[in-house]
Amino acid sequence: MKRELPLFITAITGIIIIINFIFPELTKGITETLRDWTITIASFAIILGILNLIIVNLRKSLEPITHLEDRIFSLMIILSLVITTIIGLVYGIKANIQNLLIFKINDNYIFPLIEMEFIKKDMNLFTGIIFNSVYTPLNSATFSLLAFFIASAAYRAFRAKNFEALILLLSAAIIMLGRVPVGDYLFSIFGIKISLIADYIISVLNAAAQRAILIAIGIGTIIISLKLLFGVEKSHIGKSE
Amino acid sequence: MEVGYWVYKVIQPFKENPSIFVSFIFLLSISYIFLYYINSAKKGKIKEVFIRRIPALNYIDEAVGRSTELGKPILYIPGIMDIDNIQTIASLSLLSYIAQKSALYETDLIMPVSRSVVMTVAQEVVKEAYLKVGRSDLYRADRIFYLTDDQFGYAAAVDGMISRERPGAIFLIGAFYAESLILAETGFSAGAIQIAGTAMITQLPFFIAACDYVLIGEELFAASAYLSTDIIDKITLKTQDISKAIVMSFVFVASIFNSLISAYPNLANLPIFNTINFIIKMFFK
Amino acid sequence: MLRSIINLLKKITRRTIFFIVALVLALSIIFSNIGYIQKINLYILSKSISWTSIKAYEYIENLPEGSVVLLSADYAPSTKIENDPVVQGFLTQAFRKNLKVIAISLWPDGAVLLENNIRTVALKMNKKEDEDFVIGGYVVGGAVAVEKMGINLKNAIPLLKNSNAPFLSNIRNAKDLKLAFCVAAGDTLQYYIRILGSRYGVPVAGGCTAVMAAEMYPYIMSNQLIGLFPGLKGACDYQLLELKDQIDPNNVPESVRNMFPQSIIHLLIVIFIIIANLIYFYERYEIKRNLKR
Repeated sequence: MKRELPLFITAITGIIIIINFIFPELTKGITETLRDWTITIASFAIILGILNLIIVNLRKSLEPITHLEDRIFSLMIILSLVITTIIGLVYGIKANIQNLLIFKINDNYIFPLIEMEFIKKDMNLFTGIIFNSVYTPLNSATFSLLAFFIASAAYRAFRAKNFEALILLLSAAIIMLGRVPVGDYLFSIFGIKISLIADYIISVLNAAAQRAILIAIGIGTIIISLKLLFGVEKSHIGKSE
Repeated sequence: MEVGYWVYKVIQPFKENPSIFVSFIFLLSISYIFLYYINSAKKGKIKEVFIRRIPALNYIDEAVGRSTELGKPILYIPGIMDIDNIQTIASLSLLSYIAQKSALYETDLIMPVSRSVVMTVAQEVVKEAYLKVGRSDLYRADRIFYLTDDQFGYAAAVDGMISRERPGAIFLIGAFYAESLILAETGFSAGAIQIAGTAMITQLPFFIAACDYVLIGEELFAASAYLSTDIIDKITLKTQDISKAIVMSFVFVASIFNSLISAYPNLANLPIFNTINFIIKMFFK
Repeated sequence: MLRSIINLLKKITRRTIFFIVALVLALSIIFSNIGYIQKINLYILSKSISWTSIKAYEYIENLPEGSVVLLSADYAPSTKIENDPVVQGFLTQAFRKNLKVIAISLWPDGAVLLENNIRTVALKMNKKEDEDFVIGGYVVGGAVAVEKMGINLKNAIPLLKNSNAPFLSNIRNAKDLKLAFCVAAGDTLQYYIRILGSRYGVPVAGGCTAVMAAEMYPYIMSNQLIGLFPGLKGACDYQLLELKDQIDPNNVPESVRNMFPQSIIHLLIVIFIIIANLIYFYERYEIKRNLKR
């Protein structure tokens, strides 16, 4: 029963959703409920993640055999989690720096930093500091690493070892130059508008290849879904057989 | 409720959007073929299925073996999407096979995860895998852990892990976005064997450039069937191939038809071309 | 001579490449502020606006006044440079055309960025919340939320229930929308195409990151996606189409200015590819020559 019940639930809910896709009016009410349940469960699943994060990192930070820097990083993770949660839950998303100052001693602010000019009292705690000043630069910096990795991957991998590789690197070069002004600028000497050639490669040749892969992936997705519906695939309930 | 009311409810979606009818027929056909083959396999009518060689999957054993020889752990990255993504489910079925191999060879398996539900399912999958080969003593739940939902936070954390742990083999199987190249290049610089698999078309070129072997698109979905010894798993690949053949034939006929009509517009006046044109416009708008 | 050059080039390691890229990027960002470079950039970009951008722009331009459109800003700060100008361009065009905008995000990060953008543009164009636009905020559920929009918009976007906007009274579900415009850094544009577009017949247009653009072309060619503003080039196209003759050549929009460093880096990567192949072919030539001996 422990094994059959999840498979039964998967099958029934899957079939209801498929029927809803074809005949929306027939299963309207129950599908709405199922969708609401999906959203609610997905949202609450974050609690699982947070608990695991805290347990793993707390253990790492308290274990003496772990490297000191690893322990500090684990503590930093927990600290960031706690600070962001407190600011969000206690102060709310609209809170400003002024709201942090809930204590006054003899009419003096307990945070002398607030008197410095570069800290604005009306700066929003969440969007101003955590999002714009911490999260956005970190996120952008990590994403920008891609530029370096692409350059090194292109240098290492784009070698014309055979005819297909030659076609690949020529297309890559044409599209890279065609999508930026410098391509048209350089090739205008030869009277070629490379952006048009790049456009043709992307719109016609690339679209054809993408279509083929998309269709194949779509069919693969349908087959895996059927396997899930009919209980052939059981990995989603943690069973390998 | 009258019968007429229910008949109306059934026909109404097809009237509103006739292309749904084609999807409905296609889905019914595939389901029938799927069930037919499963039934045939269960009755023993089909004993063997030919599957072409997929190099990436043949290399898994070697990758795990190499990690064992070097005394380094295996890093398994199941993508950054949640359990509702088909690629994550395909990844978890491959995880089972790799976990069994790592248990047999007594190699450490580390699995940082980006979604909490995936973490829970993965822990169950790995535990079952270790139990299956009789090495449940080696299973450690803390080796499969949650990092963060954030894409680049996850990539940064995994990069740090690769640089510190220096795994012998890295498996990047699942749905990836922009962090794919960051992960693959870091793995390359750490000197690990990398086997990737994704159906994210935009990330395939990065994996092909940086990894040793790549499962392209549907090969990821075929992976569990390929590695399985069960005929029922393998038979689903036949359904996949037949479905593709059906779609290909439609595409072929439609493209020939459209090309002829474009070249010789007068052909549209012929009854057969008129009918085909009507069907295409009606059901494939 | 050639051998010594090749030997020198062979010494290029990953670190050297990273250093060269960083140096070239830094210099190109500094030089992008030079008036002459901005003018050339502007001139070339205005002559090479992509047809997908024009298609999307013209469709929005032809929408009747008062049409209700959905804006979904589904991206994170990492792709802000590529996607923010598209969102701003869309809002500018929509407000100019007196379209009514329902603004949401399927990503939590996107909700904050969307709010910043819409408040800035609304202030500039003197548009009021609950009259000309409604901010639906972060909508949980991804594809499930998009499916719900097809059935009941207010159930899918709970914050709409709190709004008194008069234009919402006639909107029951996504079929009542004249356009769904999704600026995406992930899969969400495909959700709108497959669910709202194919299933419910809602016209879909949007913007995306450059890496995703190639994947969208099958949808554009089959008219499932009306038009697309791909990557930073698409962002420039939108700014150029919307601002047209109002652009000061000495003070071009940020997206146009950012195309210069992008151009230089693309050129640099092509140079790296040429160098790598030169080394490869020279080594093959050397091996063949040694074998002949």
